Amino acid sequence: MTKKPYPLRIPDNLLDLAEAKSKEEKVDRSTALRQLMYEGAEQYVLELISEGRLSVSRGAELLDESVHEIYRLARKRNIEIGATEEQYEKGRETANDIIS
Amino acid sequence: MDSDGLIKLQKAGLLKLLAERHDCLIPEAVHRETVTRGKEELYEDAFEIEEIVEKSIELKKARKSDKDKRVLSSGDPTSLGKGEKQALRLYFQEQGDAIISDDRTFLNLLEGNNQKSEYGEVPFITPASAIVAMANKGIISNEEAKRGLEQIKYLIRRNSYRMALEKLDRGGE
Repeated sequence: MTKKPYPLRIPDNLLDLAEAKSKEEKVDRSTALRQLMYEGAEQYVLELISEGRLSVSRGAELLDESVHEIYRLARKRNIEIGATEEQYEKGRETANDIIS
Repeated sequence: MDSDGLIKLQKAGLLKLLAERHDCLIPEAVHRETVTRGKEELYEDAFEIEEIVEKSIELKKARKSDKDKRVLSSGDPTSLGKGEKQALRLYFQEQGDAIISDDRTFLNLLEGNNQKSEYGEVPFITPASAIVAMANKGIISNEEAKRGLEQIKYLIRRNSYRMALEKLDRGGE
């Protein structure tokens, strides 16, 4: 995935957090900041998927991950994804008509 | 089928059986998402899905049509990925009976379209509902269905899982 420079004012506390993470994980501060941003993006995408505002396939595209990885992340973060009860019920009616 | 339907039915251990009994189709984007990308990341499911696709599922190129454009415009098409969009195209192109998916967003869009019924309904089946129907019709035993649901219980909503189990216990009533 390509990276682009983007001007951004970062609060001191987040920079301190990135500094702590960079020391802990032996990476530079910019990398630590990107990791924090990516973790936030993962959480946000999974929430959108769970709420039915983003599909799994689209979420995977936006995070540049596989759909398999989306399921793994959702399970790890205990975020429910999948059809609602109402959708399950509608699917059951169709399945009863079609599956033989 | 979209990637969601394909992966969950595979995890439930019932994709092969379903594909052998029905004409199942997937578009190229779904193959890329589930098999190609999954294999690159060494997901075991990807290798298993590839084997089933080679034997029992037809891989087709999906072409755009006015029908799928109209259905997509009934919701927010930017919320869907290539896999779901191509699955919808393939449904119209091949005049399918239904789309198998468990993706809430994709199904929301189909439901929105179906309520308007302006362009014809697009019926859908969720993996859990397919498993229950297979048990109710005696294609698999209740125990096999329960095992399948158990395998995907962390990938579907808890309420859908409970509902599917209840339906199994009541014989689909």
